[in-house]
Amino acid sequence: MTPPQETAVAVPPSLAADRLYRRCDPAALGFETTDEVEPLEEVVGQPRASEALRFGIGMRAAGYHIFALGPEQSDRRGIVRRYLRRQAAGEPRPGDLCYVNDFDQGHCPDALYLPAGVGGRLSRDLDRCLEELKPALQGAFESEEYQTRRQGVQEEVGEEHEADLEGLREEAAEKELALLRTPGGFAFAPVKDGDVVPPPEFDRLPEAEREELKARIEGFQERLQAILRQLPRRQREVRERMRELNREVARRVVRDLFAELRSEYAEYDAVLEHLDACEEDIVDNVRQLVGGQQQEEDGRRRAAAGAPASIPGGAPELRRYRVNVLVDHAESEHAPVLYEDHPTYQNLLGRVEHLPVMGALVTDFNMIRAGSLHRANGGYLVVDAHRLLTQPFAWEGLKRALQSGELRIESPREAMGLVSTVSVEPEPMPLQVKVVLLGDRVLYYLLSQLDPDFPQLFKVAADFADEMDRTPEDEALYARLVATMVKENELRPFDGGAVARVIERSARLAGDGEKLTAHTREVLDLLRQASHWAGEDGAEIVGAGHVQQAIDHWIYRSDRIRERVQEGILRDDLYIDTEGAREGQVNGLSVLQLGGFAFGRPSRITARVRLGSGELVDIEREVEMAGPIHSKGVLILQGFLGGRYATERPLSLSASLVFEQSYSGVEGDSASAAELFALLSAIAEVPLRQSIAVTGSVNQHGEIQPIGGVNEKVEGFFDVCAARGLTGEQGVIVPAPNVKHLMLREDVRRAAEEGRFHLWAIETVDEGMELLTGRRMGERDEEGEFPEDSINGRIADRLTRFAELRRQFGPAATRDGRRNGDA
Amino acid sequence: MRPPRRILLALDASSHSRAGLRAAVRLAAPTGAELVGIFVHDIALLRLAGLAGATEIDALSAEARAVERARLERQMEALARRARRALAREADRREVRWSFRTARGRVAAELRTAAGEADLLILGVRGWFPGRGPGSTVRALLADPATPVLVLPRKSEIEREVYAVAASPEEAAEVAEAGGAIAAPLGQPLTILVPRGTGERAAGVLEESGLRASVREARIDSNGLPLEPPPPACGLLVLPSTSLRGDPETVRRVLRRAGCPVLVAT
Repeated sequence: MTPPQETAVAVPPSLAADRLYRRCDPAALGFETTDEVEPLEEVVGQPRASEALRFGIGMRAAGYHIFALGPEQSDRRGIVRRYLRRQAAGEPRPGDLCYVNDFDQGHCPDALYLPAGVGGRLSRDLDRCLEELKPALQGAFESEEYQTRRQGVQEEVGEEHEADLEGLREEAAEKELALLRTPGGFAFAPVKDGDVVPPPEFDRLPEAEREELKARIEGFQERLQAILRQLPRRQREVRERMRELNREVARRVVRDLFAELRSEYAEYDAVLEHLDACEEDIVDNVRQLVGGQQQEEDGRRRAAAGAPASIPGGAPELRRYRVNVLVDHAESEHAPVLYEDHPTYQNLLGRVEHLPVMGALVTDFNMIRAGSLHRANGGYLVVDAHRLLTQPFAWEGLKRALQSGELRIESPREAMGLVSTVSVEPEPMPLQVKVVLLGDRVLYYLLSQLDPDFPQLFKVAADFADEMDRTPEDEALYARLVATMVKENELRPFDGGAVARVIERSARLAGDGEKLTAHTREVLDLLRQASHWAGEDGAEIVGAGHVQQAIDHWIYRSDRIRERVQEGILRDDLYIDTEGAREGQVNGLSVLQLGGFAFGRPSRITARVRLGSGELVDIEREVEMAGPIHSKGVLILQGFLGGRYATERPLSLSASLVFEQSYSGVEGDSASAAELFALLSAIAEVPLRQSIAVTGSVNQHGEIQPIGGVNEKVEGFFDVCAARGLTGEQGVIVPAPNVKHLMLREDVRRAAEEGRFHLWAIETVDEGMELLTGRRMGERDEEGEFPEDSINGRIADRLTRFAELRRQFGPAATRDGRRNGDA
Repeated sequence: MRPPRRILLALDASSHSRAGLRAAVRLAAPTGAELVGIFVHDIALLRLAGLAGATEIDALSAEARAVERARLERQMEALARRARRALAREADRREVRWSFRTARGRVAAELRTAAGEADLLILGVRGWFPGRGPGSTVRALLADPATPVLVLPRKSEIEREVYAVAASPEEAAEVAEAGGAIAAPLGQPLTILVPRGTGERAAGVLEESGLRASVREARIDSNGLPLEPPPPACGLLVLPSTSLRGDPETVRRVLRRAGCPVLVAT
């Protein structure tokens, strides 16, 4: 071992206060208040997503639907909607979508496509005509002209029959035969003096006379049979002539009623075809229409009994002629942009409603209801992907519609073959829509991985960033974004200082002094709250103080748990030393994220070492309270120890590491540097300064790597120290790369400026150990030995002694140790 | 003629006789008259059933089958029961006293005999035999009515105004009395139709007799037979018995032209 060197080292200078926070200069923004600022048209901070949206919206090929992925706070929905509206404003409004009855196949209604506004107008015009139809038909059928002709037809045929019978009776009478009506039919009987011959008298007649009478009767019977057999034909003839008469009268009425409609809609062939079909059907079914009085009485009876009289929407017998306008674009000015906030299968694809009538579920084409795909057809539909995927069948239904390019309305139960009730099967409608799904990145990657249809249908990913750069130009642009949000939301104007404070807060939200958050919803919340506090203050213009007030109130509303943790530390329920020095003990820092609020919390990390065979026991991992990244960090320590101190002899120690008083899981590797410091301290038997907390991860070469949440962690330790009274020795060690992320609170900055609190940025483990111990780490000399009494020297010496002991005791010693639960 | 106190109703369960039944109940209810229903087993059918080898032709199928006396009698009994049930239902509903009897013989003769004990005979314009005009029974009865006879076409009602025809102003009082006997209980106005140019005299006759009725001139022959259809408001036409002159053909023509119930007074 090399001779002892000077082991004490001076505490290095901590970071200057100006490196703890990056200010935004209000003067550089160039305005007094946001009223002077031109609102922004373009989207700020999302160049990739914007380009993807422009491409996806403009791309007309199949399958180029858009998935907008990214954090919800980035206002991706608002941005998507803004792009879609801008595009849609230059596109023509689509036509009206209607369904009409198919008179040949009643259960398969026909689709009817009409220019925007024509569908609704036609529906109203036709309804007015149909209102007139029944009275007009009834009037025609009650007219004297019709009654006379009807009576004429009936009498003409009836009288023929009666005249034939009467003629036969008279002829029979001339032959002394009576034609009698019996209860079941007709019979001929011989008469004498106007009366039927009594049977005894008939029996006394000579045989020849009886035979002659019998033959005579048979002759008449045959003629009677011929007359009676003509009766069905005559009745059929009456019915046929009546039907023809009814058709003639009905056609005259309908043509007269429809004449104006035909003229009005002469340019629409589909309408004329429908009117033709209606006319034919009315003519064919005029009896039901004119005989509607009975139906009306039935309806009144049902209503009196509390049952629905019929399907709502007009007289049941007239509903079949109506036009069901699914989508009416009369009021639209351009292509539609829809957001479906409840994307159930039926809300997306439409449905067929049913109504219970007299115990049965009934429906018809009038009860077909549009889905949002119908309403967005010819335009754009925005759907939240998570909501879509949590609705049964909705995702499959949407994919089916997009793949087939047509809208087919069927209930999921029918589609699955679970029910086979009589319903309607509307003719599918062609679908031309651009769908934009909004969702998290995880959802996007899961769908890409697990659903083979997804990449074929959603070829455009609009990836929304969490943050944007913070150059002076960006700050100016961001200021305009703030001004735009202020105006759009009709808030009080913000002065330059307030906007600068918002920009600084944005950087803090991004967790990076060189970045600004793209979570514009959070920024908008801040603006609204600042405006509110300005109002409370009676101020017309929002100042930086109001912004700070909004931030402070928000923190106050959110930090109950943080306060409880601080209280626990201050009341010594949670052991955290902020002065003195202890071997194998260091203050680590972690971040707790609860809802939208994150705060740092110091944790005591301790290490114990003894003779062993090189195991490093992470107690958190052993009890399954550590996440994989944390466990990885601890195993890296083992690599560091082996690489630095045990290249030529076995690492003969057993060490255990623990987060003291940790009652929930630990994840992340940001405490690995602190764990290493505790471990080295325990091996070297050198105490660590408890006034310093540590954050940072470490690699196998002892380099300190950056971590997240640096601001919260520093502030977490500061709060504990400040509560106990700042001594001027307290501070936090942070990885050097994290310095650019620092956006610390004003009280922390002030304490740092006054030398009451410190931040040290380190790049290596050695720098950290020297800071924590006040001793040199020591470097290997020409012979590869560390200086005696340097930390490295003490560690190497102790590990050598462990190795020697191990050799003396043999392998059984360490095995026994394990049996005793040491490893 | 006073309001009838005993009404004889000829029933054969045909649709014509149902019109008679409704009219009879309508008349009897306000007057408290007794209603006597009668169903006549036609002797001609009974004799037919006794003839060796008698055959009937089914009205629906036109198939021939032997006439069996037992079956025929069962069928006629069934018709009688139907007629009785119909009478009971209608009369009980309006709380009218009623009785029912059957007879056996020539229909017209049996009705004429039974009508001798009644103030009014009501029957349908024809029975079961197809046709529109009056049947043989009606023709026979109206040709020589001994009792006032009210004849009803199928589906007709007696709910409108009553018109009575007088061959001369002197007859006005007589027909007004007969018409009033029906019109008063029905609560309907009575109009006397008299030959043209005799209206004033007829009104005087009525005034002298203390009868209240309107008088209206019309084309009427010397026997009291109207030469034109009755006014549309007419629900019952009252004719003097002399108008039909005992001629079945006149009866047929008058009833067809009337197109409404006809009462032939005696």
